[in-house]
Amino acid sequence: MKGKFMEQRAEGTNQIAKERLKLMVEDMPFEHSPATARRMRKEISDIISRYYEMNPENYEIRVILKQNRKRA
Amino acid sequence: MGEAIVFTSGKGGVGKTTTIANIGAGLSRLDKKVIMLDTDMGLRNLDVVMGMEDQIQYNLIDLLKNSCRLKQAIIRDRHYPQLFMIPAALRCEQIRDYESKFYTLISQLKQEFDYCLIDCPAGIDDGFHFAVSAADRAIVVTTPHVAAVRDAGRVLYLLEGQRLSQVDLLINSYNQRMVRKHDMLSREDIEDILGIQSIGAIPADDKIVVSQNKGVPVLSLKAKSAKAFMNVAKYIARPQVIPVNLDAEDPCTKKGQIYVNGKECGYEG
Repeated sequence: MKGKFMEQRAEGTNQIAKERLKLMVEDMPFEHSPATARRMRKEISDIISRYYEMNPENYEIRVILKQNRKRA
Repeated sequence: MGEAIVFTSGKGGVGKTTTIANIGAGLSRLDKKVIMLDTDMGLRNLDVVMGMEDQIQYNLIDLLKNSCRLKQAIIRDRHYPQLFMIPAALRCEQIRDYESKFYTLISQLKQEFDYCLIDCPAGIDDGFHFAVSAADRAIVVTTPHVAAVRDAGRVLYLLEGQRLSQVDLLINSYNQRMVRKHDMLSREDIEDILGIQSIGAIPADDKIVVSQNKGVPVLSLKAKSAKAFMNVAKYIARPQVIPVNLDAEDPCTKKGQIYVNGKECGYEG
């Protein structure tokens, strides 16, 4: 009985908070900062213009991450 | 040439304004000339915390619109002669239109002041981007509450895309007693989750309320958080000489209530 009580004390609610936050923070890299997204689109656009003679205004680059779809 | 530091948090109510007021006072005690700019349009609070609300004639937007001269918008603190403030406007639409003018203003202020401390509004939309746009470095303020830590993570992530020379983390409202009982995220927990070292943990302190009632920084009172704020100010002013072992200096630290360490130097010093 005493052992179980001690175990609960050692756990504490901070461990619950920490585990939850770790999951939340791990989720973040799937979202882009606006600057990163802009840079990525620029790079993709450079590749496209290597293969097609096309003005960037005539196409649109959109990246859809499958993992995010459920949340979106 | 001075330095512009933005204080941001994502979540509201974590103590950005309190932190700015006290670090501003702390830096001015270290003989630095400091100006604080409130960019929280509509919900300006820095003037109230500093007890300057009765001295406001012009605000930041008046200044950016050229409706007044620089000297007219700057308010000097009554107690700290080296400490100045520019209040926020009570309303402002399309704040991002003023971004380039704000940048010019900060560059101008940096010629005269050692530190420009920018109080950022809560949230991560236009007001946030406006406040960050002119800063050289950022201090992200958080508390050991899950919502605040998560938002700090988001803000740290957004700040990566900005051109800042340094981003620091500061923990506010730290309750050592609860941490010891494993009922509050410890400083190490927060550093681990966010993947960044913190520059200090300010103890939760009832005197903050008392100081704000009076409209003076808590630094002017005998309070346990005052020492911690002062140490953060010392770290900002002289990161290389910050005392790491503070036990000898302050009886509070014996109870483990105040921690300050620089990024560069570990606990061993």
